[in-house]
Amino acid sequence: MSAEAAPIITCQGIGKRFQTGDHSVLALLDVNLEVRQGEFVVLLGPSGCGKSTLLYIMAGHLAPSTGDLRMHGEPITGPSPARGIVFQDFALFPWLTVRENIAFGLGLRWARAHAAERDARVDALVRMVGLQGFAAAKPHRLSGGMRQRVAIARTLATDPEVVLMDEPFGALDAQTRDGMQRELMRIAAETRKTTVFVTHSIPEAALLADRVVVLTARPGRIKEIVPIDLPRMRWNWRQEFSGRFLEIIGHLEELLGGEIQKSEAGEMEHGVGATS
Amino acid sequence: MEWALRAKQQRQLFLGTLRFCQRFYSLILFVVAWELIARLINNPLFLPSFTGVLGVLGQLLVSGELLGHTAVSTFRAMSGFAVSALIGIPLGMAMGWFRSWENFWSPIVSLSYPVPKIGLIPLFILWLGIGDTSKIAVILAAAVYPVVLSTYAGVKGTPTYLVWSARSLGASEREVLWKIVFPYALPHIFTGLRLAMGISWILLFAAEMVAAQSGLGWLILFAERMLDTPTVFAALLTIAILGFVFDRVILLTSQRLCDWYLERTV
Repeated sequence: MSAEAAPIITCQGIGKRFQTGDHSVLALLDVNLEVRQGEFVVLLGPSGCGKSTLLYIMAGHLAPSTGDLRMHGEPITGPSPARGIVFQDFALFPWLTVRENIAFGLGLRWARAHAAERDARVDALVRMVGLQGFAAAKPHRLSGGMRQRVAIARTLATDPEVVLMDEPFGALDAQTRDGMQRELMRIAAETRKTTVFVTHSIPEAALLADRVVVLTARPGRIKEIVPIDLPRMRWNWRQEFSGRFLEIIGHLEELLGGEIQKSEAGEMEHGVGATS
Repeated sequence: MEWALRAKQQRQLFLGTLRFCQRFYSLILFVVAWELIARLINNPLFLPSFTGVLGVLGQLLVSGELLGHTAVSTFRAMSGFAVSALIGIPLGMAMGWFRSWENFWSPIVSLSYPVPKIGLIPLFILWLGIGDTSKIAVILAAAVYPVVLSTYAGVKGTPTYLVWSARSLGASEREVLWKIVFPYALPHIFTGLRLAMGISWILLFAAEMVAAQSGLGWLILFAERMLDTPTVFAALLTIAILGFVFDRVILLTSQRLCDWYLERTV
């Protein structure tokens, strides 16, 4: 949407090589990307293309082997609460209740004096993700969809500028996934968070994104950046049989199809399983 | 109406007893077999009967003798156990978290773990004297290993995503260690503590049989010399019961604190 908006995160020439013993894998090569204020960027690519790696680098959990990575012009040197992250496997703290999980980040920085304010904020988040009846439950009692809602609320609690999401709905069944996509659109509209979202699902990318960054098979490079020039709140892609939406999906299929074949051929050749 | 109520109560009592028997039927079977065999042999010096041992146990309790020995032994065992927990948990955490600690301690632990600690008893007596200190030191030397190793394994097993999540929420390295790694490792730490508790009792009796004037270990040795087999069995039974009770205490505490671990489905 807003091509003129200020960039928050800038990646220049980002590359990543993983070294294990004598074996080394080039995961990313020369990635140049700007994430702008308020936009929803989807990283789309075949499995093993390094899209999650790119996300972890943006988060500050992995250091890039080459290139320059900045947020508001300052180099990113490690994780920061300014960049919240949501993982595919939820990564909830299993010994804490839903409330305590959501309050975790706030509890670290807010003194006891702010307890009332903190409680109010956690309450609001519990309501936002619709888990009022489960605030005192521990994660193992929740379904996959509920767990991911807790993870999203926990990330939003500390009010990060950017939300990074690593295939957050990948572990959910199709129905739950549909519901969660819709809910994420609502939350994104409510909070206006800048979001970087990793997926290998084309419909998911087309449904959620302002821009889809299509990555090549390993080593991951940017193949094309596809702007989705449709209004947001595309609640459900099945309702969007507009010609334009299908056109976009067709284009993404075309871009990704060749890469998936390459990625599979590469696996056959090297005899190694891909990791995303 | 009243008879119906009474019948219901009786039925509940019956069902309760039945459940108890089901739960501990192996123990009941063991005790019955012991009693029968002892009565067949009919030689208390060789094998006293279970009821006979209970009688002796009662006498020792009434005379107050047993209580004194039990108190002394429990103090020694618990001191050794507590010190192994106080040293073992932080050491295991540091080994699991800091590469430098792992590099330094790992070979030492591997090398010293198989050394039979009972064989160290004379050395500890030489260095620390004949009192409680040497006994506690022997217990520590043996019981610290399961605590260190299980804490270490628990810390090593902490999923990267939990650590990353905490860091992205603004946790410092110290907060990651105490608010994420420690609670994640806690169920494993409790397993180590249970093992350490058993080892503490075993080592205690070994130490008390070498050099002591009191304690249940000494009582066993003394009774053996007097050819008083029933008292030997009474002391052994006391040890078993103490070990059982303390193990249950740890188990219940861990169930309280680690419900998430025991009830998890995936």
